Amino acid sequence: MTTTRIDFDARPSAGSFMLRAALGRKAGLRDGESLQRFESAVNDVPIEGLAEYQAICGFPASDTVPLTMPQVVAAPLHLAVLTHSDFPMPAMGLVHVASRITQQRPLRETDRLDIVVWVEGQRQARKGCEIDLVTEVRTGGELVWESVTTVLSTAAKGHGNKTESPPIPEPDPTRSTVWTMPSDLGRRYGTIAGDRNPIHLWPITAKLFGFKRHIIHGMWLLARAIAELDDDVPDGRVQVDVAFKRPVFLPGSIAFSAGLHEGGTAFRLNSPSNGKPHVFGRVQTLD
Amino acid sequence: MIQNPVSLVPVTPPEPSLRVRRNAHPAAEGEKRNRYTLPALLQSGSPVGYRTRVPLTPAEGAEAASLFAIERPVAFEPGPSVRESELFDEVSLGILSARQSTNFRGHKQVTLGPVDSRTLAGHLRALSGCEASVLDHAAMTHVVFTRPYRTPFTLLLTFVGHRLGLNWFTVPWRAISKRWMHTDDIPSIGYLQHLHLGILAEAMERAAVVASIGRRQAQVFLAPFADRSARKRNASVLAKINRLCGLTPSDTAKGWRIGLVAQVGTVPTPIPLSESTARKVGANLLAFRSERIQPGVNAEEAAPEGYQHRQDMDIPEELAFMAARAAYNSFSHWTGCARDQAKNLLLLERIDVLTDGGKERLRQIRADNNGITDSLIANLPLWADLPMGRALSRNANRGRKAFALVGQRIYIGGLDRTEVLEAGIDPTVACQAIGAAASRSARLCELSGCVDLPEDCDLLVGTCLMAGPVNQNDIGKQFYGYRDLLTGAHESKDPTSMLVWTLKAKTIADPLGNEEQLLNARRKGALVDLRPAPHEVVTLRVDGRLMPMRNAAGRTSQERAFADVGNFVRDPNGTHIPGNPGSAWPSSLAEAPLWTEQS
Repeated sequence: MTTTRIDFDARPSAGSFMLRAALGRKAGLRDGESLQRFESAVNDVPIEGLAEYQAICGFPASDTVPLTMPQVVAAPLHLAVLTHSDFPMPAMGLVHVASRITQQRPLRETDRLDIVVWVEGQRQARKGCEIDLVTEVRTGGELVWESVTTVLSTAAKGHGNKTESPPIPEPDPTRSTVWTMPSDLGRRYGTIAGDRNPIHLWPITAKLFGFKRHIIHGMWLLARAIAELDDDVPDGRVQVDVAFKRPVFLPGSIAFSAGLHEGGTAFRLNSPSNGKPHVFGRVQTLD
Repeated sequence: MIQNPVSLVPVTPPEPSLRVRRNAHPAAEGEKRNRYTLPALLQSGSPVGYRTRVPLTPAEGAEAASLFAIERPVAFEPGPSVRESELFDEVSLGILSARQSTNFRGHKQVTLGPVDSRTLAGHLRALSGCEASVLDHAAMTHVVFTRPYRTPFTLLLTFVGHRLGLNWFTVPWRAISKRWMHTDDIPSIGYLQHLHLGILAEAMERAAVVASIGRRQAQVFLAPFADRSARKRNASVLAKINRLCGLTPSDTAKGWRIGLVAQVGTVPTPIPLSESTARKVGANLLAFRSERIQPGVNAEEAAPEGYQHRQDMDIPEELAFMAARAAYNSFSHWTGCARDQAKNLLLLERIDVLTDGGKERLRQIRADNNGITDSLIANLPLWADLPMGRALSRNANRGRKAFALVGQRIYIGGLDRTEVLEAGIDPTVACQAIGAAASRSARLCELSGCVDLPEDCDLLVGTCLMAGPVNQNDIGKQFYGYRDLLTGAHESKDPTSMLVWTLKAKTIADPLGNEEQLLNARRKGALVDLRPAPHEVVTLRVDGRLMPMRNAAGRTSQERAFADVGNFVRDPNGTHIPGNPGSAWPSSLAEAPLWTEQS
């Protein structure tokens, strides 16, 4: 299996990759073809825009980097991989279906990050294939943060069978509230996070990609949930698992609830009108 | 002024077969939602939410009784800085929930830290007519602004009581003077502003103690801000306080002015109160305020079976006695008069509805108020009513239900203005004291109804404070030659009734739909006081800057106060109403001291 490496001297801007993603034409994975390893890295990256990120996601101002922010810092590397000319699947149309984030210790604003991102192989899913985008963040050689971002591509053959979903935890809520999201939230978050995917910007740009209206970023929903959980998310070694089931349209509102579940905290975002789950996840301490 | 001791009086629940609870459930698929079903969702920044009452043990009840006879503090001592969460608890029991169900957001508050409190203490000392000593070492000071009471009901009043032929001129003139000179259509509308201030003063005094678990108390000043002459005497100092609190000329033009000032500080001798009792009392006070008790009869035909039951319950005589004692205590506390004098000045008529005489009296009040409504509708200017599709007369007709009186004990409270003046008391302060007295009496009864509250009962005592019947009677007095409600009971005096409060022993809470009107903008939002969130009515002055409370990190508070007690309404399966439990404000902000300087 060959490896395609994309190394950077400094954290690249996401803009050029977004353009490449929008204009690129790719055939997708052929039957029997396996996704080779693509890897991207950059060292000594400063953490910038912390205050803006905290403000838009609802974190109180502090020098501690929110658990979800390294994903944003690493986002240009993700795009670099997904928009590489040899990467067989089109980046536009990839659907973020799940994430696992593991934090070994909280990062500080002054930390400098060495980031490695890679993807290798795929799994057949009902409507296509799923790939795992792995991100590792080190400071001074120590692994401090990692994530596995699972995305679904329909540009590959799926197995077509409906799989039984695991039950969504429904703990007795210790927190239950409703968030209102304005129409421009996707644009504002996109500017800060460097993710200006058209599906998040305007109704008209989202319609071009098959959505009835623009939708909020999954990573904003996760970050806002972590902010809402506040000190229910401990400071030390923590693992967060999240599944994105349905898009959340803008403008709109979503009902957040969370409670203790199997030694951790389970959370979910439901539609306020029909109660259907859009996002659910779990936070637990690692010992 | 030493107040007579009060105690909570437990109410005996009916035998188990007669106990009923609300047991509301969400509307099933296809079922039409109504006031008896659970709301589907709560999206609100109010700290109240939909709450249930929490049982107290007799020992906890005895401990809580001290909250109904709080004496003024004589000194503050330097103490720890106030944490944000403590202020949240305090304002939740104060300005964010003091009133029960009035449909007007007429108060806002600016809270100052220790340094600004020192400046303000200097201003307070320069005021004439302060009813108590201005204290040093205040940990914070609340300045509450108030504005005249204006609602769709007062809009209707613009058209009431005019003479045929002249109403083309007198209606616009009244509208203009109401808008620009803040004059009231009838005196009892003006009393509402002061009754509400009295209720708030009473709530703030108790809130400071509950939120700090007895360590802090409030020194509340009403008198220097009460009436026009007091404000005129103090004009230059009031202007300084207005500037300190950021009150603009535009606010003043809208009728906003200082209503009360409350210094809050650490007291040398704490009020004995355990943390668990304080939390339960706080959660209960919010539960009482979460309800919007309808004065009308709830046992309509469409009501679920639980509401159709007749319950063989009555308010115990001892509780009625204690409620009256609490009311006189409060009146004397806020006016500074002796307790015996309070009994003469606070005019009360008690109607025992379960007795023959009581039923007759109630029928008479209903008949009079209906007669007034008939006259009112007959005299409405057609040139205004017809183009509005008879909206004015429909609104007046709807009042019949709102002005109805139900309960087992009904108290009508008022005063004789001449007598009050002769006693050297400002009538405006006396009016505020009536609000405070009614509120204290009602809270004592409601909390009494939580002592040994059985699991199969929502409550044992319900109360309702209302001005509607008094306002209706006032329309009759001003325009149609009716006598005051209290005249019959106090023939030798010239009484002015101001407020009615009712007590009822029962075990089933009112329909949750009544509460939803207070929290859901889509349900009669225009007509009700959607319960405010902290950032909407509380402003903090920190480092010389004014900032709304709990508006940070791009979000506003959705926390329910005293949520640790967990008294949230659930369906019979134990499932929460989504959004009702709320979510705690970030702990790094909530646990931080609000001001770094010492008191």
